[in-house]
Amino acid sequence: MAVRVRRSVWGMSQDDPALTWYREAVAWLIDEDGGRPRSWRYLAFVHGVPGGVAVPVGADAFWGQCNHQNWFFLPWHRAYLASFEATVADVVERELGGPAGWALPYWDYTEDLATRPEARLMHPAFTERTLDDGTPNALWSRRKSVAGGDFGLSDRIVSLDALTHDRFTVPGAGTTEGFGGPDSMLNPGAGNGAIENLPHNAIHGAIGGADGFMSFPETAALDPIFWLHHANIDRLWERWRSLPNVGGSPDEDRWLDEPFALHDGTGGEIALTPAAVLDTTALLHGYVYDDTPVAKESEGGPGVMAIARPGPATLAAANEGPIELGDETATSVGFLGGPSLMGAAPGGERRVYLNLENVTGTGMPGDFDVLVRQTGDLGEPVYVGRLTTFGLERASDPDLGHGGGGITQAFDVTAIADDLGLDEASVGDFEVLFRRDAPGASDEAPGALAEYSPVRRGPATVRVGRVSLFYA
Amino acid sequence: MTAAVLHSSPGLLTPRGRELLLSARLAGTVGVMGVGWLLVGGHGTISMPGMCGDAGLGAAAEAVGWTVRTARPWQLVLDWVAMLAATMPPVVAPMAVHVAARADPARRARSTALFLLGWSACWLVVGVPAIAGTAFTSALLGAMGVGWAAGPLGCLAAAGLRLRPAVTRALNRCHGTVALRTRGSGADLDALSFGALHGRRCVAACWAPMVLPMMGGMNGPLLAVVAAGLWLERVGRRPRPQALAMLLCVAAPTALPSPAHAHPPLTRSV
Repeated sequence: MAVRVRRSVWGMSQDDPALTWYREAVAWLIDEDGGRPRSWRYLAFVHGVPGGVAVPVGADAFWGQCNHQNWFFLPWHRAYLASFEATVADVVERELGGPAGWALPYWDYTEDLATRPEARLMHPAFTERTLDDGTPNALWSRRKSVAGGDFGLSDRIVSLDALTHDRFTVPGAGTTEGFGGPDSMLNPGAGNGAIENLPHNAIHGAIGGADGFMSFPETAALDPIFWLHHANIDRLWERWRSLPNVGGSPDEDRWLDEPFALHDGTGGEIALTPAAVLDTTALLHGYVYDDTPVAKESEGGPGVMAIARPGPATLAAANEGPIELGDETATSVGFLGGPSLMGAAPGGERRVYLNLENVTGTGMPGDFDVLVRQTGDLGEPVYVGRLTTFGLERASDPDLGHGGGGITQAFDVTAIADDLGLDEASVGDFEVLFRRDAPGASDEAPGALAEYSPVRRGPATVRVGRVSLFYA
Repeated sequence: MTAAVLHSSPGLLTPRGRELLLSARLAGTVGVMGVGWLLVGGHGTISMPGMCGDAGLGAAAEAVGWTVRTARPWQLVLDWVAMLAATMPPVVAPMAVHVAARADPARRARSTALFLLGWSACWLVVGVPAIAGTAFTSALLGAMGVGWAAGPLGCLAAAGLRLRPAVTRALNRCHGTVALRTRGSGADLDALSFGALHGRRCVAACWAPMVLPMMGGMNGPLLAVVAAGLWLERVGRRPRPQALAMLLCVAAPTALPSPAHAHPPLTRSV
């Protein structure tokens, strides 16, 4: 059978078969018992398990697997999507009597507004609570309460800056994490890979709002739009791999051979590895994207295009200590003294990184624009990047995978540092600002899934352990 | 040369300098482990009694007597330090490197040393009494006439304890970092207290497989199995304590005393 073609949802009408069969399959899966691999709850709980849900015997190897803030983020989600796609396709064909070969659509919110003005709006197939005949729409979900599918996806949220990163992962402390995320071997102070931070995390928060399913890893996959969002992230990975002058996939066996326990379309157990997901045409049923060529890494396998790795970065300046973030918060960093690269001539090989270390928090506080300026400068501060908080609560829980260390996010600010003439003398006036983009209130959940609504235990909080500048 | 490299800023190093720095770290880790294994293999035979005494009311008293007579504090400390040195450097080294990388370059060695001091203190505070308790239990079993079973029982007990959900949580906590202040006494305090925090987490996760399998006496190959298991748990994507539990079960028969040592000495040979 030919490989499936994943198409842009905005190229589909509301009654496109890919969407109508998806809606019917979701409704069918929601009605199934959550202990079965072919059920909506089971599929969602493979990503994360909502609080209060007991993991049944036999499911512990499959549930709660989502990989975030590490270098398995992309391959694990690719394998997860393929498993989901196979399941939905099987339900469409065998349970609902539909056509074979259903393919998951993707939502390209990054598309140029000049050619697709509606690109940043959610497709109407997902925004109506009921269908024309008055029955519930299974594609509607608990999301931020908005009108017309407009979740306020700004240029900063749908940023494609991740595609400018030339390495999949970057070892060492103090630098940015690369396109795909940090090596998870020991995982101290894990950070988001560039594609995970933007647009992935930001889209989660923008759609979920304060209490929606999409705002939390434990509930995100309960929302049918989750899968279209991740198909787009997967498509962007494939696009990045096709770019010239990027470093290719990691070539370490402990990345290539890490097994992910999942299910095939019929509910049978399978194990997929990153090595097995690199060629999308050979992954389970096989698939391609309608606008993106299948990536071909150089002969010899992954990693052969790997480019020179930078050396470790060195701490040069830091603020005094932890800060709690409000709607607008500022902090200054101070030079530590001693030899540094600060005064090195601009344009050389020196790189400057702004680090937000051990960011921890509770709830969904919204995301933060990170800006810098020189103290006393009355002009608009310079935008550095976005501190996203999807998964922050989970990363702050000491009993879970991050050990409570939270997230460490680094931004490359070399160009800004050069523009500001940042050196040992002036860095004391270097001020970092955080502006909160508050999450909106969310709608209620669909009745069948209402019990999984995130519970707000108190006001959302964010704490940045340390703000620092590293030079390499 | 090595000292100069260690105190230099990696960002200012040449590629050759970075290689030397990495080599020095690796050599330091291997060196500490080598000393640990020498002590374990050549000196550190805690002679758990496994003795053939009379079972009954006198067993406990006999065990207490043996423990007090034999388990001198300095021996316990020495053996425990040897075990830590032999097994723990690869487990703690990455977090020590993390502390060094996040520290003010001018005080990198100091912050790392303080971190390791806090970490070691936790292990010593818990480990020495734990190994004394293990010696007592071994003596008790010996006094009851089943001293030969001490080693395998220790392995199986450690394996059973490994399956508790609390171990998975503790292993997760071992991945946690905290923000460290950079200047003044706050920086020293943070490095020391993070070391203590990491040490407490390490102890909670690993005390049982470190201590209990040695109930039949110091056993180098068994300790190597434990060390390898702990390392694999540390580097895994998700904690899999079941793997080490299974390893301990498989290795339990190796903790039986060999025929030549069916009646091990009641006192330690030094």
